[in-house]
Amino acid sequence: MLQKVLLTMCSFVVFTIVLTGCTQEAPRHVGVDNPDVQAVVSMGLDRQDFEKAATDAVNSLLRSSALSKPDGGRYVVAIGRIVNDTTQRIDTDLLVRKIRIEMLNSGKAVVTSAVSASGNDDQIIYDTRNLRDNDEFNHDTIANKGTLIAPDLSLTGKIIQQTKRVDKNALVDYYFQLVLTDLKTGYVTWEDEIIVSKVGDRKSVNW
Amino acid sequence: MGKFYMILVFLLLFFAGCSTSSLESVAKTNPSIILEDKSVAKWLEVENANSVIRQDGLVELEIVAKNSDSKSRIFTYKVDWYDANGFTIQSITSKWKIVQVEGKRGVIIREISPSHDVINYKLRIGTPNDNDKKREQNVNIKEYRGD
Repeated sequence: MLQKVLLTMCSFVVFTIVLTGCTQEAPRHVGVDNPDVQAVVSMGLDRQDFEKAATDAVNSLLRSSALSKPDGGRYVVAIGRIVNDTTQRIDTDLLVRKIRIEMLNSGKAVVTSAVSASGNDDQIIYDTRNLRDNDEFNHDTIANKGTLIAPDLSLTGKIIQQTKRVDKNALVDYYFQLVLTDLKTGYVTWEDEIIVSKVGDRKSVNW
Repeated sequence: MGKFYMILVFLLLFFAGCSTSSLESVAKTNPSIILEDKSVAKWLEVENANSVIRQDGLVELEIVAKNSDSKSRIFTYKVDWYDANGFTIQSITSKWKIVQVEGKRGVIIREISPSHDVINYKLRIGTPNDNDKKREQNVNIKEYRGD
């Protein structure tokens, strides 16, 4: 009898411990700059990595004067191909969008949505021009022919990953390579390479 | 023209403050440099400080400093950029950055204004708080081998 009681109590205690361990933390909002969130670092590309690459690229680009037009106006920049040469599925917009925002805010450049090699073009630009044949629309409100502005520069790039395993550790280097090209001459007017390196247990890297 | 004279005044104060290598003395004579934590001045010496308004209207600043301690040290800095109305201009480049400097080695801080609307700036220098230590970000670290 005593053994049964003890067994029941032990089972109850174990059951309680197991259930407690299975409870999940309720979802909650966290701030973008929350240090607890930023402290979570993976061997892959995290948000902080894209921010660092974009920050360094913008600093380098503005310091280079490549966006300083001689007459003081603004360059028109088209976004070209940003190649993902890593083993991860990355939307390169995570990098490019930040750079685009800073270019626009600098007052030195505008980005065109009419031409893009990265899928950033806005199809509505062309859809509205197709309305010229549609009599339902007031033709005075439709953009005239010859109003689109061709880009002066293009921004292209590549994200490369190199993984090395040494003893119990793995070192992963990410190379963010960006190039700004003058579309009239083909000259490269700016380029830079930003490196993000991570070290971790080799078991955490299975790619 | 008003913007030009304002920046010129700051430049003069900047160069006046650069005659010594003490970060604290540079901060005292230059209102654009704010020492959030005076303990940094005990080991971080300013060797050279430059600030220029470029022809394209962007403000570029560079500070070359050295860790006088034999141990590796960490400090934080942030640049706030202001427009003509005194409002800060938001930018991804205007965030607190943590910089590690090896013992007896140098560091270069190079920043550029995010817009030609910038007419003033404040460079804040401090030490990492507990949250910064959690983040352990090391961005924009520039080092050079000093003599």
